[in-house]
Amino acid sequence: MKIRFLKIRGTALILSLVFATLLLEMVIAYTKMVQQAPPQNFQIDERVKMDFLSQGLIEKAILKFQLFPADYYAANDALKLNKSDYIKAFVIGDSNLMISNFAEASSSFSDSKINVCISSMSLLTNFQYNQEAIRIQSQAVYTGKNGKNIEKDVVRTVRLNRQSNAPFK
Amino acid sequence: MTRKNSRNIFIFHRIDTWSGFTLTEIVLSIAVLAFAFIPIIGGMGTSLKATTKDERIVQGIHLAQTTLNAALQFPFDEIASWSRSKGSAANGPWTFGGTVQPQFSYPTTPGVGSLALRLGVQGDYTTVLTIYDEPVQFNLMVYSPASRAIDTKNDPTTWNWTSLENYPTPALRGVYQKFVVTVFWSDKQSGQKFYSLVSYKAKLVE
Repeated sequence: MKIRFLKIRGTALILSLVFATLLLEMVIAYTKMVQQAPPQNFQIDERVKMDFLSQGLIEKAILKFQLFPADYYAANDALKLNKSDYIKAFVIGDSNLMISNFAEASSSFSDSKINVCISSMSLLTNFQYNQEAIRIQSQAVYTGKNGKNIEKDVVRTVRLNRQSNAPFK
Repeated sequence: MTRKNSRNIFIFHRIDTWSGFTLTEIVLSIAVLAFAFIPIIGGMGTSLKATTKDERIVQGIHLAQTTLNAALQFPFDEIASWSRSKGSAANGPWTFGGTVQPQFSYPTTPGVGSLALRLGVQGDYTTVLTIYDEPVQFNLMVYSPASRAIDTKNDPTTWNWTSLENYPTPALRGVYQKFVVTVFWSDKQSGQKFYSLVSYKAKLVE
């Protein structure tokens, strides 16, 4: 069977056409794959912008805690007594701890608007080592080029040191 | 003739009649394969150009990221105070870099190292840092410590909470700054490009 096939004239041409077709199909598949894959520079851009904005908003949340620590601790104590309204008002309910439709971090290839908010601010206490820390979580969201929402959570934990300012010991 | 001899003669006859490829067939098949490779090589050239363009963008992003990271490491108001000492407005904004190449450094460990920030022209890229003083206000609920002290039922609703909107008034100044780093470069085909990164720094008590 094989020898009969080789005896037919023009088999080299047919074989080369078959290989050429296979190569062209591979090129088409590769081109489609490259077109559908998101470019790496956009992915890096998204990650970097959201990270910096989230870190900046977390700084503001820490500033709020440093300016009003008593009210935060009172709200936290109320949370332990099953009253969560006050801690929500301190963290999620504060419109000043949000960045909406932020467009200043733009570039020649991307001008998407980013939304950032503080999603949680929780007190961590370790009685064994007498250590206290505050854990602040920020969430950044923006709509990517393919229309999908891209989210990034950034967490920062800061160690706290409570000092009494009572006039007596 | 035996049966074995006839089989040998048959095989000998088959080897003798094997055919090969003519020169014309080989030339035509090589020509077809060559035409098939033309779009592949064209695609490779296009992807090489795209990779070079992406590389410049990624380098710009990394430069902006490095610059902003370095700027945020400086103590609060360290960079802006340098501009104020040269006569800039007290409330900003303060711009550094561009055609001028300032260099900031801050000693971290004495005799060992220092924090450095480089702006302005760096190779094909130009970096500009602008610092803005952002007013700060908050919405919060404040409680009454006196009301809490007399609460015997552990009921937070009796602690006399007061809602404060946009407090304090006027807004606080000099405690929160916005850092905007912009990197510029030129692309031969599409002209001037830029990339901006923004972050914030607060005056925190260490």
